[in-house]
Amino acid sequence: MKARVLLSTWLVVVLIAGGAVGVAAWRHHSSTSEKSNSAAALATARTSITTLLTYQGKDIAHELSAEEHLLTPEYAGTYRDMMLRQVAPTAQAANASVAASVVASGIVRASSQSVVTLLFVNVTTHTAKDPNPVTQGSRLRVTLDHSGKRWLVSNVEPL
Amino acid sequence: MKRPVLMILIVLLTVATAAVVVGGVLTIRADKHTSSINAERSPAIAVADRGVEALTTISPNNSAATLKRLEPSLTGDFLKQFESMTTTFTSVVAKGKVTSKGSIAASAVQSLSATQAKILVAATASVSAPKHQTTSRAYRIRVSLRRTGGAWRISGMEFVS
Repeated sequence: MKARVLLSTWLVVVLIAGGAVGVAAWRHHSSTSEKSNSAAALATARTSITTLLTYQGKDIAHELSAEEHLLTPEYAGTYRDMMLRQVAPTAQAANASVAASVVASGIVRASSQSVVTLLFVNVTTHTAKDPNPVTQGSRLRVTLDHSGKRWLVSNVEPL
Repeated sequence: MKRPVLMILIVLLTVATAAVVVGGVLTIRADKHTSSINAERSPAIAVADRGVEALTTISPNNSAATLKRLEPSLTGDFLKQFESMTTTFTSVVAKGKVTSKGSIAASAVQSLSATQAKILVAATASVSAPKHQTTSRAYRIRVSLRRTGGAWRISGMEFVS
């Protein structure tokens, strides 16, 4: 009888301890995966923006089509329109060669499905007329959405 | 026959409980570390934002007061540099009658540990001086912070070029 009481007590202790471990392990897992999630999104933001903002003026339409897979299907059209209307005419006329590099990047906020990043980007433009390249610094708020196993750019906002 | 089985069960459960508790404590300790990083995210950003806003918001009349208010949020060499510069800075601003109104466009965590953080701040300032047109300036600033005595303090600030 005494042993049975002891056994039940142990069972209760084990159950409570097990439950606590479960909760702690779950919290640990979710906070760790949240961290690696945002790190992966940030890495994607850096490479995608570098690729998207590096182009040859004369090839811009072709390059946009080839790079559409970096964007969400919803945003791809908006981005294409913006580039073709606001950027392409000048870039084509000047036969510009544009190279972007991300000089600093960070996380504004993150969830498992969406990550907002802040990128400081330097954009260097070479034109046929001017032998000296011009570098401009910009600040972009870039949003990425989780799609399948990948992060896709769902918004680019110059600040 | 019944008792030995019970004894074995008790011993096994004791071992299992000990293992579970040790595992639990280790997991919780690891968990505490990472979750504190998430929880500390916004206080570091808030301090960085306040610092940048204070340094980009100046006027001939109140720059000394604004800078003085900022001092408790600074630490280390940055505080020393700041203290030695304040007088010169204040008199230049007063002589030039320069007014600048800074605001934060966005800020983000570049890196963060329990005691150190690097925050990126995109700030915009509207700068005006007599006989000059008001201009808008865009700044890209990296703020370094250290956590001392339970509070985040700014240990460095640089323009990202």
